[in-house]
Amino acid sequence: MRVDSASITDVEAIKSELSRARREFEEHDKGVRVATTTMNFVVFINDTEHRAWILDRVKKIADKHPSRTIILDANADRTGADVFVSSLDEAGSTIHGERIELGVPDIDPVTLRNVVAALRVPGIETHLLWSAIRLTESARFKELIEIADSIVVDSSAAVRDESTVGELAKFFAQYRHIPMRDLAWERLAPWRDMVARFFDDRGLREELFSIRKVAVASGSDAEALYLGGWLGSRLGWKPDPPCGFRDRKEARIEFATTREGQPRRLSSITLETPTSQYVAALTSDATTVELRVTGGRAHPPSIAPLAAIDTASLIERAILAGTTDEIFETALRTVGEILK
Amino acid sequence: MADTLVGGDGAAAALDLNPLREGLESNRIKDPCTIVFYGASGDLMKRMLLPAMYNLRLEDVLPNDFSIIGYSRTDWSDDEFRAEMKKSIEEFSRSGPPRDPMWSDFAKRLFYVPGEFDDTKCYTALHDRLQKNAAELGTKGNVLFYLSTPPSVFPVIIRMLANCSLAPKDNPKGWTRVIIEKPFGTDMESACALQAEVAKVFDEKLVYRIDHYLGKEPVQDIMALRFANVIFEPLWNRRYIDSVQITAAETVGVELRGGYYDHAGALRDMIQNHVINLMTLVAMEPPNRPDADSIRDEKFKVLTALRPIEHDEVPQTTARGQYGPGTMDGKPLPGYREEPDVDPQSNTETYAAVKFYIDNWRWSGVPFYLRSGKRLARKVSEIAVRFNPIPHRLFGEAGDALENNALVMKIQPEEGVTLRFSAKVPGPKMHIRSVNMDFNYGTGFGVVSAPAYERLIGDAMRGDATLFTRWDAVERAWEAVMPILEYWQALRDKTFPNYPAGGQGPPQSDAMLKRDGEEWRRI
Repeated sequence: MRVDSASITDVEAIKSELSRARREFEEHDKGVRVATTTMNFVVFINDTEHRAWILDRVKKIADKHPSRTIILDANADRTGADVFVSSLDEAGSTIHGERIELGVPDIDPVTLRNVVAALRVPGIETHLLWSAIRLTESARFKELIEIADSIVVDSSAAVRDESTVGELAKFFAQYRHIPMRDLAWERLAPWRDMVARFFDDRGLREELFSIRKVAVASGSDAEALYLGGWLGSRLGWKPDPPCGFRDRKEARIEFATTREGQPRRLSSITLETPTSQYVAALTSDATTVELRVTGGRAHPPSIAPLAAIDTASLIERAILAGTTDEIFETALRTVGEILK
Repeated sequence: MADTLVGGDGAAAALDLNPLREGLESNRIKDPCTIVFYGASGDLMKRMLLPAMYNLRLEDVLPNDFSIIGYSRTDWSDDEFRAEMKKSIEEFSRSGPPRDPMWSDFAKRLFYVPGEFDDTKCYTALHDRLQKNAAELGTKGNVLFYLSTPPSVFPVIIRMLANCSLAPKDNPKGWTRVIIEKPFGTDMESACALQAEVAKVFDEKLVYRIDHYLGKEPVQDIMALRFANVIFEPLWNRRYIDSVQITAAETVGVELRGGYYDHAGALRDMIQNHVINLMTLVAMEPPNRPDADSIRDEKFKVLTALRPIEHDEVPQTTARGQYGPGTMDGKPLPGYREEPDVDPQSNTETYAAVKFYIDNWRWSGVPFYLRSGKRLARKVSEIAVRFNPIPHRLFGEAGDALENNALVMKIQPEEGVTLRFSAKVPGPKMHIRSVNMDFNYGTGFGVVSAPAYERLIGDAMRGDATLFTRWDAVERAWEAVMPILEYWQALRDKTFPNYPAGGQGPPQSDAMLKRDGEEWRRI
């Protein structure tokens, strides 16, 4: 259902349309309707190229977690407001999701914030998915984060270079209280687990502290930088620009990244110690990783499943995590120092 | 030295912990192990157990180092077993056909030992295979035996494990656990006899008696609903609850299980385990901690408070039925006595209903009506908590029926919760109508729950017995149903068959509730 585009800031008109959409459900079979709602899910988009891609992921989240989804579309050709009500069951007996799409190319930041605040279901959390080419330098971003309980960004959604993650590191240095998650970081969770597996055996712990080279191949720079930042922050390494670290004994660790494979996907990570080489590499199947150890600590290769790394699952994980993530924050700080 | 690399007083501790693990969530089971499936060529293995293992692997729940050994009488080689298991995954796994390289990696951890369940030579072969896997696949001697054979073989396997150095006492460096499929005995005497055999070899903490109902997501949600919310628990007692109905209804008949079922019946097959287990979850006190023993202690207390049903009370507090010919969806269905492998004069009940009272402070005087049956109108498992009527009628026009509030926990096929309450019908008059507020897992969280076996096998590998039944609870559950079993065995029901296939159950069951001024929820 579409609300007159002139009334984009007319919150009551939009709510009225939402009520009408609900009533249409009721009239379907004269039953009494109920709705399940877990959150307000606010999504800002101004990236035409990835709009459909993002909306598809947002729908997946909203299908799993019944929500009031408020799409803020800043693309120039989008105006007016549309409201939708949906049900997942065939009989349509439970209202599962409500979606409000607002065309907001020209709306000023403060008005935008007020409209969104008024359209939220009161009393439940509000999560902001910021999917825009520029992250933190936007005045709208700074307004919307004030009404969000958590913020999800993706520093490799629209670019393959390090510009966005660099911007995020600078922003985060200023606004440390913000409960923010970066999907580029969340995407690394299974890879961090693969790397950790190499050293779960206590007998290999010394190897971990003798790493001398880290090489990461990925389709976007943010993920590779985060892996370096994570290893550095966990193992007490200091960034030693342009491409390395120093450990606590001032020994140098080479850090090399190469652009390889699909955007936002890691292809491999290689760690070298004086005795051995540890490699985790994506298989041709793309859902599994081969783990190999050669050299003095050689181990038969094994296959490990690459658990849910689709973007919808990552957004879900970021939203459910809720609180701040110290491991992420220290990794991001280290990335900031690497990029200085 | 390594400790100088990390420096400081915490050096030793730092070496104990993998610093890369900090903040990393993982469902992966830590202990390496081998799981041995007895009855590996059987239907349960093909349909449920092996697909569950493969899905656990796909979801990275299995430990890095694991192996699976099938043991059965069918004369298969390792490769033939792998081929059969691949077919079963293709046919039954929720994740679809297996793909390489994951399948190849999984298959090389599958092994098979053919043999009789009482053949020492075969147990020696199993012992050798376990040792080999410990050395070559890093399973470190941890073993989980899964008994999915006919129940008559359980004591044989347990004795053979002890005789062939495969018992926990023979494995000082690792752990040895056993999962035992239901039914655990066919009556109190046989259950005690089986337990006596089990207890000679396995400490109770190493025994996992499986009831797959308890692995279902909505069953676990019963505790979440009760103890993760503040709004229900204050009402959860005799002051506000009128009665509780627990239903486990099936549309299917005995299928190919006629030979087994004709010696079991609905009371043994469903009420003694699944349905009584559900009742304990509804009636238990809040556990002090969310660990296995705290929860199982509370469930056990419910069973100790069950009011015994004396033989002469059986006709008033129970009802039994057997389906005759009928129709479902317009198709004719045979009666129970016409089913394959069923005695044409059978007195076995395919429907059982029991009224229990729990004699404690919380539940005194509240009837718990339990029923289960085959070939009923609809497949439904649910728990319906019916609240007391309002104490004084303020609203409602003449003719408005003010129904009692009800909270229904739906277990299958729908999974979720429905709260029924009264609301005003819009308009100038104060008409009152009952409405439902629904939460469905399928349309709520929009996900399909993982099969119960995945959850339960994973828990047993972790050593978490929360969702498994402890012996004292099994014993009490048998104690509760034995007078009914004895009465029913001693006295043939001349009305059998007394309900049509596809119906609501026998009229005796309706009469049982009618005597209390209640009625069953419609199936």
